[in-house]
Amino acid sequence: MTLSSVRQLVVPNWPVLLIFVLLALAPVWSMYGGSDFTIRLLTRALILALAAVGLNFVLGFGGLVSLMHASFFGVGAYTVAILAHHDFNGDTLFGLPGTSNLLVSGPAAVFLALVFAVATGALVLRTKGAYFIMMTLALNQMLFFFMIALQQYGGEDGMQIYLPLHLSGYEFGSDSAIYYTVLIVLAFFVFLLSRLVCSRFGNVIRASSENEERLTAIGISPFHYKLVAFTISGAVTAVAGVLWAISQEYVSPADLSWIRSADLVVIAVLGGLVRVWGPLVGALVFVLAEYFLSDITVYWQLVFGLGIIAVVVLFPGGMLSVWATIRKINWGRAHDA
Amino acid sequence: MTTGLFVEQSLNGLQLGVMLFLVTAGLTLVFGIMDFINLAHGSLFMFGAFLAATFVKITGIFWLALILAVLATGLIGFVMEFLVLRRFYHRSHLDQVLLTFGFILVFNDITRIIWGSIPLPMPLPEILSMPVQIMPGVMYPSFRIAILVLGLIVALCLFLIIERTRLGMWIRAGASDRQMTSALGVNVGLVFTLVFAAGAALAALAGIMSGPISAVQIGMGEPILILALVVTVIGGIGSVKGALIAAIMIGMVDTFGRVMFPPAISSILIYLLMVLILAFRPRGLFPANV
Amino acid sequence: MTLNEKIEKEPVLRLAGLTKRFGGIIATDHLDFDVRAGEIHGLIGPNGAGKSTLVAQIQGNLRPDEGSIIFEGRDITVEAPHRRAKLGVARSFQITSVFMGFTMLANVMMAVQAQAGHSMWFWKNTSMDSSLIDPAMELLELVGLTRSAQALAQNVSYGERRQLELAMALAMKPKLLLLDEPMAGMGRQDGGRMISLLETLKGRYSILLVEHDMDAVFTLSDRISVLVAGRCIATGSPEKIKSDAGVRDAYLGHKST
Repeated sequence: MTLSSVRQLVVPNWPVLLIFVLLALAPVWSMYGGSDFTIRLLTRALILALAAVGLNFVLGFGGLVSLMHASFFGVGAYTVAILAHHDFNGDTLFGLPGTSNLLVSGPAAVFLALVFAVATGALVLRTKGAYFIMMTLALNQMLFFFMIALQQYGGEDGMQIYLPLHLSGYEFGSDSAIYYTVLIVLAFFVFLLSRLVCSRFGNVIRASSENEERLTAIGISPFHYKLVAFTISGAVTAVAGVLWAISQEYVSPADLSWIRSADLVVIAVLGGLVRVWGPLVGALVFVLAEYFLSDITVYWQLVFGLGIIAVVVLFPGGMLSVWATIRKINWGRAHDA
Repeated sequence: MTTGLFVEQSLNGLQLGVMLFLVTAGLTLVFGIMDFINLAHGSLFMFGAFLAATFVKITGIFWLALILAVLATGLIGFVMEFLVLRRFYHRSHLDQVLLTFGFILVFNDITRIIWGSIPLPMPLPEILSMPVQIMPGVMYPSFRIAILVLGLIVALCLFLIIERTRLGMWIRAGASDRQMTSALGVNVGLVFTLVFAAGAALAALAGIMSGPISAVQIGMGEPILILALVVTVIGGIGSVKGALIAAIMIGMVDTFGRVMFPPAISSILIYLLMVLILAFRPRGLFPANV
Repeated sequence: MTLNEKIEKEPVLRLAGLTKRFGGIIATDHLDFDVRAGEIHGLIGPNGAGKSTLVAQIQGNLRPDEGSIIFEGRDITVEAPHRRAKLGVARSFQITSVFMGFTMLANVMMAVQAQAGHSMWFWKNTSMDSSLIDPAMELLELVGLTRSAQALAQNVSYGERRQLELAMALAMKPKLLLLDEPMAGMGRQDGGRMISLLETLKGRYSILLVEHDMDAVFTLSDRISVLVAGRCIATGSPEKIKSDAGVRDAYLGHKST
């Protein structure tokens, strides 16, 4: 079983609709019996899901193992936080005033992420395999250490967002409001990227991960396509960073360390790589596992790490073959008929 | 900058460079020979430091503890390679990333279980705890000099082994063309196990060296791993010569950058250097796979 | 000579003094060579004669050290491979190279899409795009793969994958078709099918056919060139090549021992 053989199923179908409906009902459920904490936990899962959806576009479909997506996440979160910080202080940044209006800081964050992604992508996409992975890892840490060095923005301690963030006056009154905002944004990007992977452009991206030599021989040089894909991917992850700043009202360098990048890869792999919405499942599993394991033991990372190792060792096809096995159990019979 | 400060910083930079070379040597050969990406290399660096600190406590003899810790970490590397990693040479880079990331999580928590979360001190022998005068008016810690000398000797030995011996020839051949080498009848599997274990031992040595300078603590290997990756990329994957030159270069640039520039610039200086070099030499300074 | 005649005389592909060295070994040695419009030009030679190296240079994966490659009167010696593909140089690989995780249909659609040149389209779902599907299905029918159109390329037989390669090359509406051992590794039956398939293409495409199967080459080719140690030692009709003493010594005789 290879990664590509189940790659045909990229269109969102009934399972994802079901998941979204259940998620939309979650705040109602939490009112009776659940708690605000449940909603905050789910919000965290959905934001990580969106970040990993962005990553998965290049990882699952383009075959690019990027370990720098936390840096795009960080660009999104820090842009919003820094603009809010200057708004709070009433001073300026490069002659421009700060703002807590997300209709300004949100697009600014995405724009900066686009610029950062184009610049770094143009560099890393010239390399392949292990080189690519190492370069992305190094560039991720470049931004990480840069943010730590910026003492005026909290350095290692991170920074609190003091003024309420708002959409031209509309403030998010409750955890549920933020939750629904995140859910809608996530659904929007899942839909957008689902269209994208089935388009001609998406075909080129999938083909480039299959066989670059062949793609070149039929007249398409993959580089520019991969650069566009990498940029889109980085921007989507940056949007997740913006949502992170909104929901946490706090950003720190830990949000953009390479460990977070690796977490996103794990989430995408847990989601099975071949579906645009896969990371949503991956993120729910990841966040819930993190929550319950850390409840049981302080050494939950040990358990989690062993879990990752066990899966990669026991299932040579990666997590994907685990899903494939499950799929076979459930639907194999119907498939053969 | 005064002459004294310049000399002191040069020694610091050289020392960082030598330490980086010891970490990178194993990493770059593993990349080059087996096309294997090992993110857990920094954990071996950390193990070296923790084991040494413990052995010093037990034996009371620094040099014995150093040797024991290096050998023990080499053994850990050997076991890791023999039991798990060798199954992953033909797997995708993604699987390798996941596997070794899993190892980092596990190793960090194991360290926390054994040694706790509080940083350990690295006791130094009497002879190394006194500063010495290296030029009029400039005192320099003697253990830093010892680290530098030891590091240089090991680096030189390693360089001679790789460049001058038959084993080194096999390793270099493996790094530039794996299939050809195994076709020539070299037992690539055995060579690789040895290289991996030796790489682990060298990483441990570097970890011990950094112990007295920074603290012995969990996660200490991760910043080093990143620097080692930068050195690997600049030097060219699989090239020991490239790693040596790139390590010294990074050590110097990083050390002087911190003195000469504000933190916002010095923190990204080495990455800018990497970007600049790769823009002109996309495969590093001394690419082994041609 | 009228202009028209002049154009007809200009070959589709002309190599002049082409040379490629690997270290001390000369893979292509000051080679002069041409492929005329509409002909199947067979290229034979013993193993290591430099056939695949030559194909790689024409396609652009290898850069020659000296000499020039003229395609339709245009010097493409330093053009990038994907640019040459756009100009009309199509290649099938000696070792099958397709998109293994794609269906047969999706493979050909990819080639059709590349030829159409509209790949920065982000929205329209290609699985319902008849401007890609229709030509792709036509090509699959031409090479006899209609039945396995929905099969994944990694699940079909080796012979079918070779046919797929050909369909993909044809999808590019090539002005020059480079076929690198299209029959390699095929059984008798599949090989026979491939020969009759190539026969249907005869006269419609300009083809450079590299092949070890002598029967196939002598049946299909209008002209044959013999490559030995990077040099072309003879060019001519199949009959002429069969009776050429030099060729027999260097190659055919070599084969019978």
